[in-house]
Amino acid sequence: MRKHLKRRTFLRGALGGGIASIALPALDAMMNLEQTAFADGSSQPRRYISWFRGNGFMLDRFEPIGVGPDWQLNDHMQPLAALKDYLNVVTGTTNRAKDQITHHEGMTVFSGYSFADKGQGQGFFSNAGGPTLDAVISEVLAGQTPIPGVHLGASKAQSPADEGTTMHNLSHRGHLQPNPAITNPSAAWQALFGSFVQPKDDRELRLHILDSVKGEVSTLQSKLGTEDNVRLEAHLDSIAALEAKLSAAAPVCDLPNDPMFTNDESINNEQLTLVNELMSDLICYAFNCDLTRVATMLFLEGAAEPTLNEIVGSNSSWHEYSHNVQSWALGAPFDNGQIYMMERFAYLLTKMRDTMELDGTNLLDNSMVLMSSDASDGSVHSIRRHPMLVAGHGGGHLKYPGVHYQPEALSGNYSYGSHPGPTSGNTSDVLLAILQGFDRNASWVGEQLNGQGEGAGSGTPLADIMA
Amino acid sequence: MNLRKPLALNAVRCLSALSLFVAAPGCKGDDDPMADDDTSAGTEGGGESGDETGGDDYTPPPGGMRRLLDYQYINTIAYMFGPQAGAVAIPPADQSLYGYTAIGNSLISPSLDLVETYEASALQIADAAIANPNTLAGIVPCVKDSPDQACYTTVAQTLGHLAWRRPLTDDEVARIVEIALEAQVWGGGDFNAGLKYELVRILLSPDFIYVVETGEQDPSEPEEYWLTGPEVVTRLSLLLIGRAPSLTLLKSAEAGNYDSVESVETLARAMLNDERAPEAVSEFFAEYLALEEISAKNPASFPLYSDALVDSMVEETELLLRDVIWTQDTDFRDFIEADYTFVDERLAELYGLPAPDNAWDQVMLPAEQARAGFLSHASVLARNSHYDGNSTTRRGLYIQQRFLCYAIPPPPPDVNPNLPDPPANTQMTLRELMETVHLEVDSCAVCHTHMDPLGFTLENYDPLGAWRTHEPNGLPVDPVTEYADFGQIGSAADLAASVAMDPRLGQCIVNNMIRFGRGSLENPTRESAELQELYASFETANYRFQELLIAFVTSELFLQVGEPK
Repeated sequence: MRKHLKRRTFLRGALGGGIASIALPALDAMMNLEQTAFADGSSQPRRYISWFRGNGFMLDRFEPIGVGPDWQLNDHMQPLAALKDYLNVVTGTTNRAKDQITHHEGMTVFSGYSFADKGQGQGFFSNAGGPTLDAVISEVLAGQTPIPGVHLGASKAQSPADEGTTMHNLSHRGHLQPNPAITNPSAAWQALFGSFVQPKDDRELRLHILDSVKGEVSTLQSKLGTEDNVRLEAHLDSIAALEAKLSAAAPVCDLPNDPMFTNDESINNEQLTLVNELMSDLICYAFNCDLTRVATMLFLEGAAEPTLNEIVGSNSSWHEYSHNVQSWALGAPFDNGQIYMMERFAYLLTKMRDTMELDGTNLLDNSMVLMSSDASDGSVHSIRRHPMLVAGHGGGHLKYPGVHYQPEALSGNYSYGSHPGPTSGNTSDVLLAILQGFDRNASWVGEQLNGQGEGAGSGTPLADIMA
Repeated sequence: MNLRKPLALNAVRCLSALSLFVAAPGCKGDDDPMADDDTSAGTEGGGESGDETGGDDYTPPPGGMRRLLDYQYINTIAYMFGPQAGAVAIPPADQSLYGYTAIGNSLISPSLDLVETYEASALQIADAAIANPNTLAGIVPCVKDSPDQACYTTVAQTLGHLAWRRPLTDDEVARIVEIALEAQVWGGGDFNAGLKYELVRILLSPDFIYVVETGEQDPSEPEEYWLTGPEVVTRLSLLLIGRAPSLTLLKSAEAGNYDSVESVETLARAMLNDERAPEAVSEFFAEYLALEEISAKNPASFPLYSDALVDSMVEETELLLRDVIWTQDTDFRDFIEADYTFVDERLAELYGLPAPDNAWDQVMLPAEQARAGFLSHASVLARNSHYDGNSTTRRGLYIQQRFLCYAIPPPPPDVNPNLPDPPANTQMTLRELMETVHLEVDSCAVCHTHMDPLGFTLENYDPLGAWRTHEPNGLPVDPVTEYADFGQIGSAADLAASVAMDPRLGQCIVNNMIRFGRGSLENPTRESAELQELYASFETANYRFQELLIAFVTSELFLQVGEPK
């Protein structure tokens, strides 16, 4: 019984305990025994990850130097130096979100949908307007793996000023259909692997129960209105998700152990480097075992206020640093933090590159990993020149070695803290390019344009990054 | 049933007076509502037309379904199956919308892992319920007395009725028993194997997981639907005692015993006397005050910081709340401006007070620290501070949003959100810095003038809430400020008095109570008269929180819904 106002958190999996990092599976882990050929002729499936870190970039230290195939890493991308061939970098393009609430509009870069329900009398309030790319891909791949997608995060910190679903979630299946991030590594392990390590000799009974309750769902559907029917459909999807897990044969691969780490330290004391490593490892396991082909990683949400102690020189909030001119110099906390964030992203990519598949390729060869943020220049909340970094060869779908696509060079007048320009194009072109790696017939992503031709959707894939 | 509404409505008009202990001449139901017990109140009949003839401006929020909140699920499991089962009940995480999980659980679609989480929980609960069968046997004795196949039917009918908050059809009973029989065979004929999966079947039904509130259409106001008796007692029970209603109460409601507002009031008063009520009401304050979000502080600057100290901070606030609402049953504004508080050893050290004799002692606040009530509690001060320093903005914003319901608008898109350089080589207090960067620049000041000045008055308290007269840089703190209608405020105690006297305080608490209690936002346009009436009720009841709850649950704001959403 709760004895005070401190709300309980209900943790799944083992509690407390020591920190046990998990090791990658052995080379023979991924046993695609039937040697299925996928639609693109390869023996390994394509995978997708969205990776997010809040509060934008310092464009003059991020945007690569040079364009096309001959480009060099700028300062803030140096942690990715060993992976450069796997990178396609898109800069200088415009996020065409139709409306603006600082930070919220930037989330459109992952979906092509402007946010909905602006304000609602609550100030900084909005809900996501449509599905994010990961959810669209999950839908394309429906039924091919036991788990449609896994949604993970590192920091538990949420922006104190922002309300609605837009800012607090990286993945959305639609309006008011967020896929919240799991920030507890032990719970993430449970969600991915728990049902496969437990005995399932009662599987038939449990499937029968799930089938049986659908009758009550139908009865409710007939009594309720449109909105609740959307939610009941989601409930049925959730039943189907468990049915798929129960029906799946045990994966023929080494399953990792519960990392036994719950990330329950207070905000400001979180061990985000460790959490990121555990979550990245779990994603690699899940991909390698083909339990799912889609993941999202919300490393730190936009406008959140934690102090990130693992950044050199940091003793104030990451959000405040993004707006405080005194923290922008070389070697100052916001500059250091940009490198820290990219190191965390590099950890995931490196693990993927080092995780071999049965045919001798590695996970990064077969994946597309989109990294971006809720702003281009975080200090002014700009969504002009909104950078998108797409890592991975995508099973031959993307250029390798990768290119730097940039329609126009960054203005020489720009420095961090000012509005960047010039800008053109449409960030959603990148989304459609990625989507076509999963659905070659996809011809549109995001919202439809309105009568004035405004909207963040796209029907023109960015061919420059496609193989 | 169709006679209920006019009678009920008539009673609503009276009850808002009754609940204030002011006689309302001419009203039916002037009798002492406490004279009725909760099974005999609520006589139907009368037949005289009500005073509402249709065509009013009132439109209730949509009806529909909302998912049980985490604590409601756990408490209900513990009620049905005992504490061991409650301890292993792990529901899915709730997502908040508009500040409340009650609204999130009403509007946000379930995650794809929702049913997996409920299933894992149900399997654990069923094992615990069978290993500790006394609570379940109290509801369905046959699980101990005559564990045979007929008992599966009894469990489906009786426990199903309790869990689904309605009687089951024969078909539904048959579907449940079918699972039980199949599981019994699977378990080699073991009764408990059948029982386990029967319980899982009942708990996995959407009829258990979701609370359905569709009501019955008012014949003269077609956009208004009165919650049915079972819907009313469910909504009431979840709000006031934190779990679903008992089978006895449900059956009584099905028999029509809670179709009148008088009977609802009687029941609500009985529930407020229930030992579980304070905890249930604290669930509201947990979300309203949001004190779970206290972030860690720099241990080098604040050596007293610890997780245990944070727990003590929150407990202090809980103890003051419970004292005002339950022990004293007095003006809620005392929570804002009390001259006393509760401390344990850790808080006494933080506040510079003598160590208490007991684990927790009630003490007078030290006059020289100018503290008063919750706004100078360490909990709220620490919640709205950074890792290594105060935030006058966040402290002011918290007061505006949560106690005055003033929504700070987002800045215009073209505003420069960057902090200007402070003057070089000049040491400044935080206040001076904020006056320079937030209040001298017009585009910033338009919003920050509503936040930072309130925070200035709390500058005498450091990020942990300890008293200070000087900042770490040695500069003296100046807490004197001016803000709008508050005029000059010289201290935290002045600020508390201003907030307590502000008429928006009571209205804001009412609005938040509505959001939590029914899972939807209040609507100042379509519910204007009803809201005004509830605001007035709270004021006339001298801001006693228990009376606000009574006035709320007996109002149309609580008893009606619109068309299902």
